[in-house]
Amino acid sequence: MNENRAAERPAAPGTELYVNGNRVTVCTEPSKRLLHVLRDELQMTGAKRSCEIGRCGACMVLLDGRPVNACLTMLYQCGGRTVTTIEGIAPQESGGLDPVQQAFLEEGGYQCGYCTPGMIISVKALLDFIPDPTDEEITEALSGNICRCTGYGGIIRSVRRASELKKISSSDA
Amino acid sequence: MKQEYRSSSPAVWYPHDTSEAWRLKEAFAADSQYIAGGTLLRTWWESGTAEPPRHLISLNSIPGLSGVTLHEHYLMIGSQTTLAGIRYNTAAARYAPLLVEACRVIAAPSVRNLATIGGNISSMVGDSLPALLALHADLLWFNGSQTEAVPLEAWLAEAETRSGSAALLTHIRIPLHGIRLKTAEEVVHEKRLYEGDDVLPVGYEVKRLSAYDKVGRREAFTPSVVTTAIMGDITEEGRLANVCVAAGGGQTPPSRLRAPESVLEGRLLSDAELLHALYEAVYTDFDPVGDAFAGREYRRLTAAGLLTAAVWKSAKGMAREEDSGCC
Ligand SMILES: Cc1cc2nc3c(=O)[nH]c(=O)nc-3n(C[C@H](O)[C@H](O)[C@H](O)COP(=O)(O)OP(=O)(O)OC[C@H]3O[C@@H](n4cnc5c(N)ncnc54)[C@H](O)[C@@H]3O)c2cc1C
Ligand code: FES
Ligand code: FES
Repeated sequence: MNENRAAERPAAPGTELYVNGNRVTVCTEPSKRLLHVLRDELQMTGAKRSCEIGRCGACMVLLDGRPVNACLTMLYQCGGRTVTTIEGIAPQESGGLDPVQQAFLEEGGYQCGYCTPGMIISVKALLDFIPDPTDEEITEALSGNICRCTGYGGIIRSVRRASELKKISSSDA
Repeated sequence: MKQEYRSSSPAVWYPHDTSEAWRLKEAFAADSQYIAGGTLLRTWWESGTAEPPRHLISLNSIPGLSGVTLHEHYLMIGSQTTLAGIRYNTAAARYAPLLVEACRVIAAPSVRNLATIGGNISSMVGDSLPALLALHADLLWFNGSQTEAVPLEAWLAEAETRSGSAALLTHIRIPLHGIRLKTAEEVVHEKRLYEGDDVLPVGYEVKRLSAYDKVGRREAFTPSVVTTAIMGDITEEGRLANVCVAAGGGQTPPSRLRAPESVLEGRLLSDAELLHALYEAVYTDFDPVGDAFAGREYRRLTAAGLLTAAVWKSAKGMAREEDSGCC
């Protein structure tokens, strides 16, 4: 090993990240999954635990604005980065809802609600990237989110409605 | 319910460069593993296929291993580039559409935001491999003292014998066959033409036969049953040239299929006998690994069907173009 520039292995495991706008330092194993950091260390239970192998999307969060499965992401991969969970989606100042949340309520985009936090995160990421998505783009964006209840009809309607609501709110602004 | 954790969770190392990463891997040997996106490793750990090692050597922090750059004769892709990064890259879309299509259908967007092309290749069964074979990609491996370029096909043939080696994949190099840069004289050796999100209108492409197909039990999540890729030039006369056919999927090591390649080479795309001969050649040449869900025979028939359909679509497209051109 090059003595002057030895590879870093933090002696006391402390990872600093930004969760929903707040700087937090988490002192636990760097390979711990983000899902368990959020739920067990930070008591944020919005991201759901289900398959735990990246296949259902219930644990979806945004990492630097892009959707990732919190059950696949390890804490060390979030160092210095921004994590947004379902708890941080709504505008903090007004106490209202994000247009995507509003659309899911209006259009009945959920039944039991277990998939809903993950769905909303994926839809938010989609609309931030493509404000007016095609059917194909919606299908691709939601291909990592499974819903056992709705048959997806209400969810697709919610995406369309959220796109409209976002357009309305940006033209009002 | 409180989650239980193994008391000996892996230590994570953040090497500053490839030399340091390589030395760590040599030093920790079987107790360590390189980690990129970690999506495949996590799958192995959870399924019990592998135990987490004592040391993880993260490649994410090494500068220069991420991104797509366009050079005079090739497209260069860093091994740490995520599949999402390739899927939305305009230079890759233009010069390596087969690879972009492969990245579009591997897993789901959230996995692709973590998963890297380097991890997909290193797995030896990743769905990007047939596309990269058809694109004649070279892999650039750092072996502790130097970086050597190895054609993907040669690497796949010997990959088994290299298991456990500390070699680190740094880049993937894709030659720009059939593309002439109009500004070639202005381009100094190795100069980057493309960086970031804008693509320069520097070239034109010859007519191409180019298709990538993946069949899986679910489109997004499961390992594919069969993955096929085909690429070739179409001459002005409508003949196929420089054809490359590749297939893989599931646990089948991806490989080139020489018999279908020679069936297609030099033939007119409009030749009525072509499709039948191609179907037979793929069926005979492709030797997939079957499992309880999809047997060997099913996979062979699927590959033959996919590749034949790809050529048929291309022939139909060309016929349509000719029809519209003559009126
Ligand atoms: C839900 C889900 C769905 C999936 N679907 C698909 C699919 O449809 N098709 C598919 O092909 N794969 C699929 N995968 C598998 C996996 O996500 C991909 O193969 C991915 O590209 C692996 O990349 P990674 O960066 O996560 O690799 P990692 O998990 O970090 O590493 C994988 C292996 O490669 C080695 N490695 C990584 N980078 C290098 C390097 N630069 N040099 C040397 N060795 C290296 C590691 O040591 C490890 O052995 C899926 C995974 C999940 C979780
Ligand atoms: S719990 Fe993470 S994808 Fe299912
Ligand atoms: S609403 Fe029940 S799983 Fe989607």
